Amino acid sequence: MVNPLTLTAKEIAQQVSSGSLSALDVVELYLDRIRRLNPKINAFITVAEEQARRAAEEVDKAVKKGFRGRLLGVPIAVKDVISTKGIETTCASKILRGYVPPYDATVVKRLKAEGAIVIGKTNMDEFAMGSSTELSAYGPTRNPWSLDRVTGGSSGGSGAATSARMAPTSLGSDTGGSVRCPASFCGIVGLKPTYGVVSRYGLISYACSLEQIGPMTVDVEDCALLMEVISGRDGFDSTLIDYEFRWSYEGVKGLRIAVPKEFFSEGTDERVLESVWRVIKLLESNGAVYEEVSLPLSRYALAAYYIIAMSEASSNLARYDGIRYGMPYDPSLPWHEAFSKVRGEGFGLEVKRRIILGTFALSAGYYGRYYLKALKLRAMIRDQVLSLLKRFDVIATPTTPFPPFKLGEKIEDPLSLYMADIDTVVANLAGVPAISIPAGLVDGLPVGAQFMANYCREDVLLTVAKCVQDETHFDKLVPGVAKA
Amino acid sequence: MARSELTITPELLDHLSNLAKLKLTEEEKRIFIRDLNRILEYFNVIDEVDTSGVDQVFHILGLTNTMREDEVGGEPLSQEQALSNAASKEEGYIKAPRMV
Amino acid sequence: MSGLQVKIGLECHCQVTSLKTKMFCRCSSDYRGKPPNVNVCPTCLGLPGSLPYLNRRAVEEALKVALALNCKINRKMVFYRKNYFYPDLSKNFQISQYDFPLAVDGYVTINVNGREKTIRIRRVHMEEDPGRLVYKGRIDTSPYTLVDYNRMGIALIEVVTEPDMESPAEAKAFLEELRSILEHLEVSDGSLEGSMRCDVNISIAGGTRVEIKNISSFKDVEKALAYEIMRQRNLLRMGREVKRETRHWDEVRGITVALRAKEEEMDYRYFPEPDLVPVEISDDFIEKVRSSLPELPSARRARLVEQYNLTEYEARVLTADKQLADFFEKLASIHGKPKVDCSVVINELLRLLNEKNIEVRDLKFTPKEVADLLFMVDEGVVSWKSAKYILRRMVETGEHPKKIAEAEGIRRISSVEEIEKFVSKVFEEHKGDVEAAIKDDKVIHRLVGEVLKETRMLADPKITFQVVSKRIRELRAERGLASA
Ligand SMILES: [Zn+2]
Repeated sequence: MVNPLTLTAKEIAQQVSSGSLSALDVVELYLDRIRRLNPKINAFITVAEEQARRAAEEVDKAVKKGFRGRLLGVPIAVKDVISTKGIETTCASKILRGYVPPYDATVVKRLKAEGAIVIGKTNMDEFAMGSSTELSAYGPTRNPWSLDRVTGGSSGGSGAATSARMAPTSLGSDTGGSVRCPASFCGIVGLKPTYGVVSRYGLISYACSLEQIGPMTVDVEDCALLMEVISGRDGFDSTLIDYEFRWSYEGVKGLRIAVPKEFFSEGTDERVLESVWRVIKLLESNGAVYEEVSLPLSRYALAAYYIIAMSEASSNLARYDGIRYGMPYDPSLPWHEAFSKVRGEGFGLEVKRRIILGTFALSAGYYGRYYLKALKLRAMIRDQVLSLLKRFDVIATPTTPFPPFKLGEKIEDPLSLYMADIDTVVANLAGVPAISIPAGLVDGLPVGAQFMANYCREDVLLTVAKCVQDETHFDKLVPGVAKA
Repeated sequence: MARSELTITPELLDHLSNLAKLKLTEEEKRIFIRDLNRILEYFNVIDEVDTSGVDQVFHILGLTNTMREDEVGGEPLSQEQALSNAASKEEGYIKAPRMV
Repeated sequence: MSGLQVKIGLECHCQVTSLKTKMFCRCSSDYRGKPPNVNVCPTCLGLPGSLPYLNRRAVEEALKVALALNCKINRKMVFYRKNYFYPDLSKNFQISQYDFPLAVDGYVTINVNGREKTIRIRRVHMEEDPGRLVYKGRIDTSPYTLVDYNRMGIALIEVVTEPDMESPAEAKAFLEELRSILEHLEVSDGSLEGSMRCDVNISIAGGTRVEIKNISSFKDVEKALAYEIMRQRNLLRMGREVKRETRHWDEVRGITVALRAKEEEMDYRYFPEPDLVPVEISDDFIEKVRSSLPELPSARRARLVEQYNLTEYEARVLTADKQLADFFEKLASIHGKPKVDCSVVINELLRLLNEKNIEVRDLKFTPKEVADLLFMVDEGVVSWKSAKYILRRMVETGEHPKKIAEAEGIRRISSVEEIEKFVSKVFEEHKGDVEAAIKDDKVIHRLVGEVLKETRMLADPKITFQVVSKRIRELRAERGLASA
């Protein structure tokens, strides 16, 4: 019998392909785990039970006829910000409750074409605006490692679902760290690809110039496998560059690591820093070299990031007016009052806060001082990151400045919550790929090490991750709740 | 913070919520006046950087000129699909609130 | 009062009707006459997660227009979002241009009553058309609004002039010239309903700038301007102030109405559309497009004068409508009497088109049939007068002129014997007039008229006059009278 605690996506696909497992068996196995664990963790907003069974039966039929795919029978937990045809997609918002997309996101289409099965839609901060997955209209997701702690966000549902093995793999989206932060807090691998290599068609926009869909997996090779399937040009997203994912593992010998001092300063938890250093030293013992450097403009990254993200969000979220989809408008009011009412009631507090600030940053008289200035700062930060990456293969930092915090701890203070993104936003601003790798446990809670690389060098990041996985076996770390 | 030092005054907040078509409760307005000014104060750190002479970025990797051919295709929706999520419809039209 | 100087500027929105698809999605651009909401996809319906993808041909078509309007082309063109809420906008923002538009600083020469004048073009840019709103009765009393997104996303070219026009007639002349240019470029067919719309701004010395929106055809612009000038002059005459405001053109009532104050404070919060990338336009490409430009109206006018010996006025009337000019040239090439052919087209055909309110394209016959008709006149088969009647019947029925002539017994009666029979009959029935004519030459004309009437105007008037005169002379001779 298979053990879902150690089963990788790659193994599932092999076994379904060879006929030793049916896709339906796999789906039932994970549905059963979801049934038992999700009530405690709240990782899923929608469990696509019926659709998943039907899809599994289709896959099994196709396999008998000789169909093969790289993700044959592999269940995928998909963040509820990614459109799935025929499966409710809410963005964890009241305003989109009941919305059933009539189309699949490109990534979902590609996964299905390889035989993967969407098993459910995972919880998140509303419209991906948050760093703890507490800001969901469907209640917070709890960290499988400690149920009174947050999972990080905004892809906390995908992080928790994968960590608790309710799905072997998942997809998140990362605007300012939303894949990497929950990967770090949940003890798994999370990759934010280079801007423009994974189609955003069907990804419900928060801040389109910053975000990418990325894999969240237990196993590094699964991460590579998902990247291989979801990346590449698409006739529906004109921001995509020419890209072909290729990776073969040949160790880290000679790898040059930059360690920017700004990310290792007093503001970051000592124990997190120790964990990241352990990872760097481990890479060194495998032949990598490191050097402490400086990335002075990173000091301004968080402010620039939030100004850009909120500005774009204020425009991206304008379409939710109750006419075409989602929460219905009040027909007794004239249009502008009806719009204001449905939006006032449909959006949560943090979403409204960001829409208002974004509206402000774009408004007449403030555009130059805030939005345009942030765009220019973004260019400067990108150039500084790229100049470092001329001399180094990767930049190593913590993923977050602190380990998973308690539910409710930061919810009253938006600024302190924004600080969770302080180490991750640089990669989104610069557009470079970044990965979070489990860096061990602090008081029984996972923390992550982040690595950034040059454009399109996801392969280098996976090499680093693979080396750490081989040395530490982080893929064998399973939270207690998931073992029961 | 004294009222005169606020960037986002109650009047500006009303203007912004009107632009953004967001009806705010009195409680939300109170919270926002407090939070938004604090957040803006934090944002003002960018004033320290001289960005003169820097070009604004468009696509961060500098991508330009992605265009498609003028051929019908894509993912057309049937009228039923197009209306499937609308709360209110009439004879194939989507029903919206009155204009005045 | 009437001497007060008027300044008029125009913003013309012209649909690119030459495209097969919309501007940012691959839906058909052929939306007219379809049931509502059948010509849509996730992108133009503004579904969450959808993305725009620019139509290359739309850029080429807009570039043609910019070059034809003598503009400077920007080497880098960027799309911006214009943020405002309205139920006809599926995303509640419109993809348009702001900084980095396609082109700036052009000009067009117009001619009003023989006087030439240059109208400066401020900018030419591209944007998407909103959907269509349908009301139950009037906009201000309709209990709800119906929305059809079939038109949403159709490519528009916006042409913005400097306030260089000083009368409604100049504005009309500019719009006619613009329409003709677009038709000669084969970019936009101005005869399609709603394909050319206009916003105007107008100020009278001593007043303020007033904008009039929503003028849904070029034809209404002159009316709206005339109304507005009268309204503003009346206000000034009464010593009242002209408010700086935006007014709507109510085409049913033929008046402009003020919008409520709240909607006036527009702040569009333009920012670069992150879902599209800049378009770089190379010198080579500009030259390629420039060299492929067809003959434009001004050149064509010069050629018509030169080649066919037409007057400046005739050439202007013909080229105001490309189809009309095409019709003339085809006709002249078959029939070969340009002066006559021109007269037929601009006096007879154009009058019928205006009377029936149809376009050249609606005609159910070609220049070949008109040539056949003119050959019939040349050969004396029908009279010129009958030919005019046959042309009218051709417009009404689309039948061939020979067929119409046969069916209605229309021919030219020029045989003396035949005419003599009619003359005998008339002389029999109008004895009094005959007596009078014998005494007075002037009455002969009355008898000729009666004879022509008797032949249903088919008889040759000259021959008829000769026959009648001869008879009268004979009667006088019989009575021994000399000529009266
Ligand atoms: Zn479309």
